[in-house]
Amino acid sequence: MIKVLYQILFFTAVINSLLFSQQALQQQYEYAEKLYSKGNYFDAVTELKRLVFFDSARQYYYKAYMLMGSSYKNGTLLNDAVSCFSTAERFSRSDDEKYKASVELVRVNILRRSTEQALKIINRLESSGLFKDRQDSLNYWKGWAYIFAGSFDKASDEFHKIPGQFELDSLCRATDNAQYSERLAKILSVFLPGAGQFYTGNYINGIISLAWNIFSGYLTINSFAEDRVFDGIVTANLLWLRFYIGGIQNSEEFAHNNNITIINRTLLYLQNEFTGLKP
Amino acid sequence: MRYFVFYFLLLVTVFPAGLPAQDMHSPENIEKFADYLFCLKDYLRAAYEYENCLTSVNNDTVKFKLALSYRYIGEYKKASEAFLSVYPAFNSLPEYYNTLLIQGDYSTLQSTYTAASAEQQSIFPVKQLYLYSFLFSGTNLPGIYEYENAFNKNDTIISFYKIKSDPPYRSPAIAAVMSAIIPGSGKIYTGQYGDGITAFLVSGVLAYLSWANFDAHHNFRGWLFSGLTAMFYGGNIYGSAASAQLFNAGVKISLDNQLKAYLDGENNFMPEYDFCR
Repeated sequence: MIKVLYQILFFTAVINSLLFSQQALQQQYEYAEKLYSKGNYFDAVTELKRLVFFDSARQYYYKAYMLMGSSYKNGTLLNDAVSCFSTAERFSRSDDEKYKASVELVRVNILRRSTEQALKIINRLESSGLFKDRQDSLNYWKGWAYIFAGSFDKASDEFHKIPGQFELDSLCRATDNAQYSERLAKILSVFLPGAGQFYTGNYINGIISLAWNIFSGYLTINSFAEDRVFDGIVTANLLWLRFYIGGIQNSEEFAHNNNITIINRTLLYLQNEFTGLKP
Repeated sequence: MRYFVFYFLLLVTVFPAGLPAQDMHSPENIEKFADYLFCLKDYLRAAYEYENCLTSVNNDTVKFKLALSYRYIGEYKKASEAFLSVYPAFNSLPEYYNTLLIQGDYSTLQSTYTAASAEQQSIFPVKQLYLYSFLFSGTNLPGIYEYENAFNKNDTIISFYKIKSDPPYRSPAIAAVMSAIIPGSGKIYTGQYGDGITAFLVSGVLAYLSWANFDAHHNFRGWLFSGLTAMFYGGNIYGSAASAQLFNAGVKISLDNQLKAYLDGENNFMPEYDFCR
């Protein structure tokens, strides 16, 4: 009878020990979660690191590293976030967990503009064949990766593949269409000084560029016509060539700056007014 | 014995919270966790945990690791205080001097050393750090024999000493005068060969254009090129003096970088700690 009582007590003690250990880890995770929800990311990371350190069975590794990654992400420590999500991916115990960690990894890579890395992870997920039912979601993040890389045409193509995703598709298409061709601006100025500036909408600059070219061209040609060859060479080099080349570079710069303004307007819209899922 | 086992099992069954392995916030576990963070190089969190740990235990090793953590996160004042707080029980005096050197507080380092006892001065590598600080500060450089003795005639240290005691500076006044006599020569003197040749050619061409236009009675153009020549000539004199100053700043920065790189390579003459092995 006493022997049975000992056995019961022993097993109860072991079970209690395991349960309490589990409970302590769960409580620690909940505490970290609470800190995270309050926006106290630094302390959340500390408590999650403590959880990881004491979780010898690695039961909470996935959850802890996911939350740690999110904390780092919210604290804009994107490189640390990548490291955490990668670890979470390694300790995932199901396809669903693996997918969630990978998508977080993609999102952080998009934010830190590691487009190639983001696309590489998406391609890896696609080629694994495990997530065929989540192709729309993968296309969605591929589209965002292209947005952050400034390739709005490719982004539009990706969003176009997703049924019902008209807003981002049309926004990217419109941004792409609104952009100026830097090469065309340059070529126009090569053939007609000031034309590149006209193309980018900088009319006064275009007129001034054309006027300087006509003036310096006249001085150069006049010098040669009056047999002042040395004067002609110097004027051509120091004046005409300077305005001619400067005008070409200027038109390219205008196109580039205009494109930045257009892209920034789109990004600002996505940041402040777009209500869908963002990286 | 039987009763003891019985009561122990009963206790554990009824009060599982008494199980020691679960208490993540016990002083021992806080220290273990702090060590883990320290080895992860997460010194900010490690310092916080060591501070926590020291509220319930008094341990010199923990204090020393706390001091190291402070220094790694740039809290030099706290680090210095913490290093001094464990001396002489813990041989932390070299780390105190090392902190002052890393902090760039050379005057405190030098005055502390001067005021220290002969015994403290003889602790390795206190003297080495003291002498090395003069290579950064450059003021009242001790004699070369001090360096030869302390660093066993180390060639690198001796070469640093020679550069510091007689830096290969260029005089801004000489550079300016040289450019006034031959445009561009001041730039060449400061090692800016391309700039020097360009300045010489541009000044020469502009001066020739000025002369040629006056000669052909194109007075307006003559004055125009004269003005440009004067601007280039004056600008080149000023530029040569500025170039000499930049050269001198470059010499100082380059030496400081070499001194830091050497110090890093030698681990600041400090021993390697085995806290993370």
